[in-house]
Amino acid sequence: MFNLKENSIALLHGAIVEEELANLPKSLSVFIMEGRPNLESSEYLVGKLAMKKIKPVLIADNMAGFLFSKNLINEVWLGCSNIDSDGAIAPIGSLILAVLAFKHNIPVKCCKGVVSKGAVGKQRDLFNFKGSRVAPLGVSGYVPLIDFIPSKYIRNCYE
Amino acid sequence: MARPGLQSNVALKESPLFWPAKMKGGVLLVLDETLIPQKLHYINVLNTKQAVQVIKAMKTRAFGQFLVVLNAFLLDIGNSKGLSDKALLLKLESTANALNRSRPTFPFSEVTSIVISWAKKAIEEKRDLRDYVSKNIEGYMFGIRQRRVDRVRRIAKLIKNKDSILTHCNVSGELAMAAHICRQENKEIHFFATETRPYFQGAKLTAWELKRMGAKVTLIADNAIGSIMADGLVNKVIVGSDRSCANGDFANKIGTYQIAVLAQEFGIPFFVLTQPSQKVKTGMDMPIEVRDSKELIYFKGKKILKGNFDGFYPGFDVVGHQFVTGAVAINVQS
Repeated sequence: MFNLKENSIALLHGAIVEEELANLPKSLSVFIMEGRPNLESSEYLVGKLAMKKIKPVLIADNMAGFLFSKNLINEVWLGCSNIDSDGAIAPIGSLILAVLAFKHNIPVKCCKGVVSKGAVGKQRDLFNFKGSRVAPLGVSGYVPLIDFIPSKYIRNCYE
Repeated sequence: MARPGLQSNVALKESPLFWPAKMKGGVLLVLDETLIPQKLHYINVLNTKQAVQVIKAMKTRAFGQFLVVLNAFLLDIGNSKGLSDKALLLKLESTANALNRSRPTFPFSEVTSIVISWAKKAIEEKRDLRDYVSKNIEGYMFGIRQRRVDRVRRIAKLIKNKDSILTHCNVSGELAMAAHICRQENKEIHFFATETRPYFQGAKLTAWELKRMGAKVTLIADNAIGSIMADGLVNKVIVGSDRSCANGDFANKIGTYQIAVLAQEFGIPFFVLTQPSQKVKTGMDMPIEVRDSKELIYFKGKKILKGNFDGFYPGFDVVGHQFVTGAVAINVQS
């Protein structure tokens, strides 16, 4: 169990490049989003953070809201591409974090990252988890892989 | 007296999740929701210890838990041969305490306290304790069933032709049954169901029962709700609630808060199925269960990622009443 204090967490999502991760504040606990369907975001971050001797805390993609509602988040880091005055492209789930951060007055850092080239993923990746089927037969799936984050939600985007 | 839920001419088709626990031959049969959709299997529950276990292990959840709570007392009564009334009351009180402690977010004590009050009343008034408590529990369950059927019809009325509805976790059969009514009424509707990590109730239960009822349903990952809202793919949100507060705040499966916030941001009406209660004043007073992080970071015995990391698994979100467009309420108190 963690001793979670207000404004004590940096919440990361996406394949943020190493040189950006070097700037993570040491005073904050690092939480990362799972990143369904393929968990690529969390797998990447666990590996890169280990090189910096940081042991992150994993949450499911539906748990970010809880952390915001309890005022635990200090800042959000997103691995983005195509950042311009209109906004940024980021991995799916980033829009949720950006809106939550906006509503809770939490800064969002748009970091340089590697984002999926494809906009939509395979249904079978959603229907399965770690090799086991989790979805019933016959249902449809919709698997967007990227979010567009309008600049209005990027309060404090810094280079 | 008019029975609620029977005004419409549309016949109801019942989901197995609507009434997932029932007594048969002195044994409580509890639908193991963790095995759906692979199979429909009922666990034999014989006593309080096993009743607490199926609740704690989330073999049953949401409304199923309340059925297990009520039927646990019927098990006690069934197993009480040779016990004096005083001894049986002590047994019932012990059962109540064990159930109340099983999952902190749920208001089991609101139900167990009613059962204990019946038992004490029976003793005070020198009634047959077993008969009095059993009949009251059975009458209570009958009343809840009728109220839930009535709520299913009200949910169906809330859903309009061409609606595209986002839902989260599982609401124990009611949404699927409402979808069936809508289908009979020739409403064209579509559902997006979030998969609801880490237990996948949305994928395994909601998508499954909606499909069974002939509804159009599309499964999404929990992280896709922003995308579908921003793209205008949903026009309504309907979720359940595990506990309600006096001021309209409520607790529901983790993930509900971010859906509520984004629904408000994108102007999408947000509806919640509630069981009104005055016991907890506001969401700030709501105890939130934090579950073992192993349930998140392990899947079928294996760690889901390589490397060194911890996990954190809050089981519920609290959603403020300011996010709620409308509540479809049911009274389970009387």
